[in-house]
Amino acid sequence: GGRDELTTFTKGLKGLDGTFTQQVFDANGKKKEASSGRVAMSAPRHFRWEYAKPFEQLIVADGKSVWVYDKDLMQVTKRAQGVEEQSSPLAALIDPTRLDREFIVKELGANEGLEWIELRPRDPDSASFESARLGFNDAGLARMRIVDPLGQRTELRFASWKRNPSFAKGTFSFAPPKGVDIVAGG
Amino acid sequence: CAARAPRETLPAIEGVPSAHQEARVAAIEAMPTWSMSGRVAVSNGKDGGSGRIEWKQAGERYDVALSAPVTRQSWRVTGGEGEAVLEGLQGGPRTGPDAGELVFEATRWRIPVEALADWLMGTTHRDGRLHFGADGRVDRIDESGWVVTYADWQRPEGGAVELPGRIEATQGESRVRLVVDQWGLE
Repeated sequence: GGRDELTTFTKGLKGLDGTFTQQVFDANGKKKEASSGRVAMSAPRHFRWEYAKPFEQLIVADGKSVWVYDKDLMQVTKRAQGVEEQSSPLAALIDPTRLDREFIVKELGANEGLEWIELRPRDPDSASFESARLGFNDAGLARMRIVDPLGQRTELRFASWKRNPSFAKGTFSFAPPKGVDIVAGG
Repeated sequence: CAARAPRETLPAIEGVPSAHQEARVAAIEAMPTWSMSGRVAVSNGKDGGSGRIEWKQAGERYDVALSAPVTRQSWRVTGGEGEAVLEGLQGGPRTGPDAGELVFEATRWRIPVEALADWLMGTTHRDGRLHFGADGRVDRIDESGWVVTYADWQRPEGGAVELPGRIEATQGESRVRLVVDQWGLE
């Protein structure tokens, strides 16, 4: 089932680099957003979420802080990489021991050609989502579906995963460009 | 979806700026239902955040949703005519006469929702003072202690009226900076 796929996918996994497309649907199923970019992760707590289209936004977790840089808005939000990040479904991929510690994992079986599991944060207050469904195929994590309390559905599709790649220097660090406003994240 | 509207800078207006603005205001008043999707960065000088914003307006009634990066966890404030409801944040829905106060209590961010419904369109809310730029379009509104500045004016396809592409409202330490990706004009 999904759990075995997750175990095989995460065995010996220290880093991941791939592409994503993201679609967001409102509570009545109307598509509100379509974006795409790159996602990279490196044990134990580094990740990089880079939106390229339709506009740029960069999210980098350097192990201490999470930086959100909105280029068009000329603002960088910096917040401590606290609990919220740890309860992000992707973080669990890099550190599977964290999976059961932070989530209730339920096997959902096969659907749409993928094996699915559902993650519910054990501490809902600190999580930034109510439930996340992860769909696996033999290439690993292929899809993630997040529904928020207002019924909004986010569909993430991942592709071309590179396992344990060597990352360029600075992939998981962020230096705010000159002239942007830096605020602490709420 | 939120594909960026083509950006062409409009030529300076012919004729008297105030006449141009009056014609715009008349066209806007004839269009009580509109929507906008874009991105917003908020700050109170110390902390802040950024996200996507969806604004639906029908006369005095507004429906404003903000969603966070990646998981798109969202919260929503709806209302008008002296009653507002804020949902999606921990602690369940909150109601009150003033949307801005509800948002401030929950997030520490000042977002003057009722006034922004007019400021977004480049018009005063009540007794604001208009200031025209070199191209003859409104480049600033001073109202109730806020300074609202405008840039990147555009004429959305199928729209009979010019609308701003960038809006920034500041009051002391509080700042709301918006980039419009799409106007929906009925």
